[in-house]
Amino acid sequence: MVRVIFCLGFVSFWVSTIAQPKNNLLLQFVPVYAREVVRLDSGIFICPDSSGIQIETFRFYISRVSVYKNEKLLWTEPMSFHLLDAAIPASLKLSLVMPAGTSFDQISFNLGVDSFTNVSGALGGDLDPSRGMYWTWQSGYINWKLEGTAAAAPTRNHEFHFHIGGYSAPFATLTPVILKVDNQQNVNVFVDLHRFLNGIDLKTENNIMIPGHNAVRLAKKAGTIFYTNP
Amino acid sequence: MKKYVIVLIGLLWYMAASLKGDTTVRFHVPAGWPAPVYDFTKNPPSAAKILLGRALFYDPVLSADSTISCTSCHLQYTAFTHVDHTLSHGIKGSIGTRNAPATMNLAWSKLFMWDGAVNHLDVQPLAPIAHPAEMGSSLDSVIFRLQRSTTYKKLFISAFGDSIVTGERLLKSISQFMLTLVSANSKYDQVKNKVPGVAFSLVEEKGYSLFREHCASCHTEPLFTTNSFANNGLAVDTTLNDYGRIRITHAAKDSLLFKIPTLRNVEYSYPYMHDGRFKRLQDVINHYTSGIVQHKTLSPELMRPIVLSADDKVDLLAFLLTLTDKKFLFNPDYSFPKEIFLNPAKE
Ligand code: HEC
Ligand code: HEC
Repeated sequence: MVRVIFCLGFVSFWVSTIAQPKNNLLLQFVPVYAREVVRLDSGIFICPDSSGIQIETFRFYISRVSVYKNEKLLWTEPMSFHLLDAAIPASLKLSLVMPAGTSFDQISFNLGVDSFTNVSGALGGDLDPSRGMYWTWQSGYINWKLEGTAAAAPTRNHEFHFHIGGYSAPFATLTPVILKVDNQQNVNVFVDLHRFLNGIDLKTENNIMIPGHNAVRLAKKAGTIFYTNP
Repeated sequence: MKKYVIVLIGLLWYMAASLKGDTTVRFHVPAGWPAPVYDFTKNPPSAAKILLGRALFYDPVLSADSTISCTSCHLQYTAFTHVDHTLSHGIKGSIGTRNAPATMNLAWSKLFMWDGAVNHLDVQPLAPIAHPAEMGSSLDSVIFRLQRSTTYKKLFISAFGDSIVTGERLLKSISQFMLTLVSANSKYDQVKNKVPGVAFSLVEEKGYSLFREHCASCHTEPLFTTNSFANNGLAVDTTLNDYGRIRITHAAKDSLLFKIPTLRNVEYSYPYMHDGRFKRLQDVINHYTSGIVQHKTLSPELMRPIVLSADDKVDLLAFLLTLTDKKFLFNPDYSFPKEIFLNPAKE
């Protein structure tokens, strides 16, 4: 009991002297397929067009979230690694706490996990290898996982699998994303899977699960489907 | 200010008390060895974590049908490799495509597996756990099984202060155990360390100089490997078509390059090579003198034939046997942790 009081005393002391007012930014990611929101928390998503595509899994990492004013870097989130999963709504909402008065007009993040982190052994939290986003037969994070079925795919059960990753040259897939923003408190970031899948011929390309040229090309494509204004 | 200090001491005391019972362990680097590659500051060793890792290493709970543990393929008495078969055997009798390497001195290794597919010791267990021909499971199902075990609840509490099982904790504990597998007490080491009364015989001495002339560029002392990759002139086995490092790098220069294995305890780590093709050390030596296959990526050192007389071969073999470290092979700290699995009430 005495120990607990010591601790509480310490914490309140710390809070009163060191803590300062903060700026809060709520970054809400919204996976969409064209105009339709892609939700996977209660089942698969059937694309509302004639593509014959159904989406079952959509998860990706973002890291190094930063804000800028007039191209000048103002703030980078410390320990910035987030696993976003369309099946877990809470994972799509990032609450960023930065110094009070930070006023910005642009945000950036990396799609994926950087190479240093990829060679740093077992890590915890969103980076824990048990989260299903780590390759087993070869070390490295899967930066982007999109799975489902497509009428066009001549595979077993018409399945497609895009496990995009790879951290070392010449097959590094970490992709920077830069977005203009005009709101300081709430920013919606849309991720349009229609733009991603539209550019892929699922008849011939439906199973990318290793680092290489194809993964690099698809990572670049994935970097272009984020936007803030519909 | 004084109040602040008192409160801080209180906090530290509380933290120390909650981790009570665990002792930190210093990693010992043998005299004359290079600095380890493994970053111990990210995973500071402790007695309780090493014990937890040792339990996991010996426990078939890691495999899908609870029949295979790490030690099924990495047996202490044979330098942590398996012996009876050339390719490793996993769950339901399935056969893998490679021979398990002798596993020791892992703190000095940067890349793991014959092709370097694994970039850090911590993430190495993911491969056998998930491989359908090895343990056929997955990290999250292992975590699920461990969470329901009272034995592991206790082990996690003493290692981490609470019973939460995470992938990070599990992997780092297995690393801590594997990092303790240091072999540095062979006859060779005793001669190098000038232990009184220990000396090479004449045959061993001659073998040592032949070794330094022909083998040491790749099997470099004191680890007996540079830990890099080389093509040592093995013919491709067309039933396996294993081209080694190129699978990872996709670079033509890496075709048929394999990780240079350590030769410590090589007397016990048969069969030899990535596919276990040689049963006896004599076969290996004959490979280097008369079996080298020319190939674009063959290491330059091996392009000119190595010429060894019958006596030379005997000498070289005698030297290789001085790398046997009986203390390592029979160290009770590395063996099946009876005290965990046999005595206490299990579930
Ligand atoms: C079914 C047999 C099998 C099981 C079970 C197994 N391994 Fe292995 N192990 C192998 C084989 C085969 C290799 C080499 C694979 C390769 O190069 O592709 C290997 C390689 C390794 C290496 C790399 C050594 C080096 O120097 O590159 C380590 C470390 C290792 N295993 C540890 C473990 C641990 C820890 C476990 C338990 C979680 C385990 N193994 C379970 C067969 C097995
Ligand atoms: C050019 C580098 C190189 C040289 C020189 C070399 N080796 Fe090797 N050695 C290797 C590589 C690479 C392997 C593993 C090859 C494989 O499995 O595909 C190996 C494997 C071995 C093995 C098998 C070890 C095991 O556990 O499977 C033995 C024994 C061995 N070498 C002994 C020797 C001896 C003795 C010499 C000198 C006559 C020698 N090597 C010279 C690169 C070399």
